[in-house]
Amino acid sequence: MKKPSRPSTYIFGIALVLLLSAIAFWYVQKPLDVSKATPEMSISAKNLLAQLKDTTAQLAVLNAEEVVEIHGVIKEINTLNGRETLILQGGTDVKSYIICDMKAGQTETLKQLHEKDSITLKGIYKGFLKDAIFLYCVLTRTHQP
Amino acid sequence: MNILIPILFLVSFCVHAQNTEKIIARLGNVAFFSYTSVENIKAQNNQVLSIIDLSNGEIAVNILMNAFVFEKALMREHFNESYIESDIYPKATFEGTISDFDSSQSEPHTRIVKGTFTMHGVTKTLDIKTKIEKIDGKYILTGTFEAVVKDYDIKIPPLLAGNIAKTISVDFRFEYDPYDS
Repeated sequence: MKKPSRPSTYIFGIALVLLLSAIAFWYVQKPLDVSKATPEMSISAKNLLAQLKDTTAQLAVLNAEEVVEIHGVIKEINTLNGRETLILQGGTDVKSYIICDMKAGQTETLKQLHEKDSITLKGIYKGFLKDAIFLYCVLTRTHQP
Repeated sequence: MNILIPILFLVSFCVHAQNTEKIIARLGNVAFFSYTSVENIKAQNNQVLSIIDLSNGEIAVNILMNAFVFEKALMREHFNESYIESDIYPKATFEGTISDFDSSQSEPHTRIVKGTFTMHGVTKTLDIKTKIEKIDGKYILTGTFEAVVKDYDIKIPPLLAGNIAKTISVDFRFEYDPYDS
């Protein structure tokens, strides 16, 4: 005859399910840490824009939500609407830019930057309107002249 | 040869004048709010593109739907994957005209912007009350409108119906620079 399960077994089972659910929920809620993510590609702002402006190549170049490392020259540092945004130059013949909405917590680092500085940053590609748009960008390097 | 110089000057002036007729906002802000007794949801997009043709008051707005920033990653995931389906409908657009637009008016004033708004593959006609200011030579447009969720064929699962308002409040602010083509 089968021995009936003890109540403690049920309680342990329920506790285990709750714990696993909490871990799964925490994992889903946790945003991607761009600073630790390995970029899908490392490319100059000029080359990236040249490829993205070619609509036939747009899909092949990059998919939305991919982490990309970009090297470029700062055109503008902007704090419009309470957001810190770096705009990178595309090239002399390209009137499109890389727009990087910076991840929070980099205010002091951004204060050290100036227009025309060469930098490298990582961000999550969101898409292309007239410019390439990146969110959660983190500065990885500044290049001294 | 001498006659060529004034002609070239005139052509160059005309091209320049044509470009300065347009203004562009690359960092337009659009925020939406959903208030219910269960949960309040806010999201904002700070990379909205808008162009205005000052000669006739025509305005165009282009929004990348997956560029909205939410307080919680789970909200963003539901918004993009279940409701807006941003992989199928990546952009929302507005095309319209500012009624009685007068680019020479420098005092803040309010105008109705009439046009069509397309989101989630559905196009609706909207009349949006918009405040127009000119500060330090820059045009700034601000306003609010409401979007009814079911008008845009956005399906909310019954289990989450109480978490999302039937009407979403949308705020916008666009600060324009001269259009550099």
